[in-house]
Amino acid sequence: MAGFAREVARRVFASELRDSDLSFRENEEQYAPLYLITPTGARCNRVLVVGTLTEKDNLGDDVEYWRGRVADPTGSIFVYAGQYQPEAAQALAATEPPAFVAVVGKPSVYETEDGKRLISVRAESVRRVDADTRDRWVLETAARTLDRIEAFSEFVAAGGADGFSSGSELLKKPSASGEGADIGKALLHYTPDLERYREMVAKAADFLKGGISGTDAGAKAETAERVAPAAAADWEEVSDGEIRRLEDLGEERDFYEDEGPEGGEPIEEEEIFFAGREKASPRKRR
Amino acid sequence: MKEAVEQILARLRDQKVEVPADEVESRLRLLVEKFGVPEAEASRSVVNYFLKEHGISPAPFAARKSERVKVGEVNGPDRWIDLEAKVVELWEATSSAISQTGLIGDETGTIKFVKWTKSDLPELELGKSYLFKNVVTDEFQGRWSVKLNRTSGIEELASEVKASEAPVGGGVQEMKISQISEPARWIDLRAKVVQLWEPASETISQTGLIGDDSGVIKFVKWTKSELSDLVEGESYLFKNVVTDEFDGRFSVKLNRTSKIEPLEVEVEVSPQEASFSGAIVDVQKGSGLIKRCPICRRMLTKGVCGEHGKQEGTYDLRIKAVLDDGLRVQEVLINRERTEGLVGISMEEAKTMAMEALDHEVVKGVIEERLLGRYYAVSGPTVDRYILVETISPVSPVAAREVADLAARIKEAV
Repeated sequence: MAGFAREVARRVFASELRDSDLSFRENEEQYAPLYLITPTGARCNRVLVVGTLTEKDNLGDDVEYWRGRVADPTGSIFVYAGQYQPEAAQALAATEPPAFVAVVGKPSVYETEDGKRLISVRAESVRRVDADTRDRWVLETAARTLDRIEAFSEFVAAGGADGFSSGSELLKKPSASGEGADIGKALLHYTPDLERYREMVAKAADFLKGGISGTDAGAKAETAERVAPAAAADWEEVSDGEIRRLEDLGEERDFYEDEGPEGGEPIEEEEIFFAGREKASPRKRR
Repeated sequence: MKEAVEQILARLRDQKVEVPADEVESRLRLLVEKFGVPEAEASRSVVNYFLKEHGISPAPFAARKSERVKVGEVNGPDRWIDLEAKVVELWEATSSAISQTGLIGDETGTIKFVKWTKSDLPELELGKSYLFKNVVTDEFQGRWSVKLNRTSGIEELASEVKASEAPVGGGVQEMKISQISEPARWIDLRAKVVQLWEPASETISQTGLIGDDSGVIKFVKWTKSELSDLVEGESYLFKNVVTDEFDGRFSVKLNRTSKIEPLEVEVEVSPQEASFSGAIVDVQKGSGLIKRCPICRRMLTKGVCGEHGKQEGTYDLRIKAVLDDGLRVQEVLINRERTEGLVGISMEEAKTMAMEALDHEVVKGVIEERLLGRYYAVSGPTVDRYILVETISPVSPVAAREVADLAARIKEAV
């Protein structure tokens, strides 16, 4: 019992998750949790993604291995569930796209042989939800992302070249060191264009505006009718973008097929779940 | 900077990697001066960078320079240090990865230590003093600890180190529960046993919650303490118990040096109220239709009570769930009455469902179907890490006002 604290499910938009490829362990011990650091500095061992399941496929042969694509107003992300996530796999199998789903899962990064890092979510649970839940998630994720963008720009402004020159400043404030260190890692690895992520959040807010308008009183009655068609139109637009992305991910399919002698086999559990840095083929970064 | 460059070059040479010093220095300067990365972190990053360049996967390094410090001087994680300290307490290891854990101390204070199984270091003995060589500091929730790993060394000292906080006697203070603010303090408490839980391990004879008029706190009574059993609802004077902290929450431990005296006058307990709003991200084991021991109300596992053996059991319906707002998690317990209202099935219906499916788990499935991934606001008294839910309602749909506020925030950002 002791020694275990449940990891928070972070709120990160698909588009930001897709940009993420920095994973690390806090220490070298066997059971140290793995974290994904996103460009705005979210430290994720678990995420909650609520969006539209736009497609699903069973990639497995003997054993079912399901892959779903979940889209939010900013982009989409692949979600996987296999024999080690039987409930999530079952739920994915039983859900006909398009449908709103809430996915709780672990982000996983894996690297293709040419050094391309791909991000997906290994689902712990997949559940159908309603449009209200999706909207709530978009609002919440927008707010959390803004929190991070603000913290990030403060960090850059305060730190700049000298603020942490010795590292001792960070250590003096243990409460801030976690977040500061995460932002530091994100800054170093991604050098993110914060404006781009601000625009991403603005896109999500516009999406909500499209679905919810008028006064609070009026909106209550209207929401049910207005959200559905407006949302449908937005998803159409998103799926246009998706076609391009699908092509980008052509390599991902190749990755499966070229992987090892058992070509075409689904990737093993441990491969999918944060392919370790040890496994990653060494390559030059920047 | 020069020294750091030398260290990096030395570490690279250990891995048979030769890199010009100026390349190392310029990369290090870039990280430290331009990006404000702490020097230790930057050094590690530079080493890893060049190792990667040469196709070597980063490995732990032994050749670190550790400094001799006092326990009270530990003020940051990831520092490699030497300590002369006495083993003040040994605790039960919570994982097979840990060979020993507990507290070590010198005249400036005490600090938790963890000796990894993989370290292959000799056993430490309680009360003996050692030189701990090349141990690494760590931080969790603002508390420091030291880790003993493969590169660490232990040498027994001939002379004893005086540890500041002796575990027995001296300076024990009677406190209110809400005043507990740090681990490893020896205190007296007047409190009532609010709840007894099923101990998770044989090393624990009793665990649960005790409370006074300032709050409630988890307690653990070790089997080794050989203290008499506490009774739920009774009040006691708990003498010389030690505080502990995990994940920001405090608890008290009753061990061999502790004493328990029953109190004639009942201690009044005031529960702490809390509310939380977030998505339900997990419906935990033990949710749904369960059977309880008729004697102690503990949940039966396959018809067996941990304390009272095989029992017929009485049915109950409840939910153990995790709410999550993206920043924190909150565990909640929802009783039968509120579960029935929330999920819309009575316990009788739940029993029928279970009977038809020949499986109690079917009820948990229905609960998951209704709740998982959805947003709820809850409130109620807190008990240890749980909120005992008194009110629960779905979070209302996003209002135009909230979207407008968000849009305003976006305008101001960056």
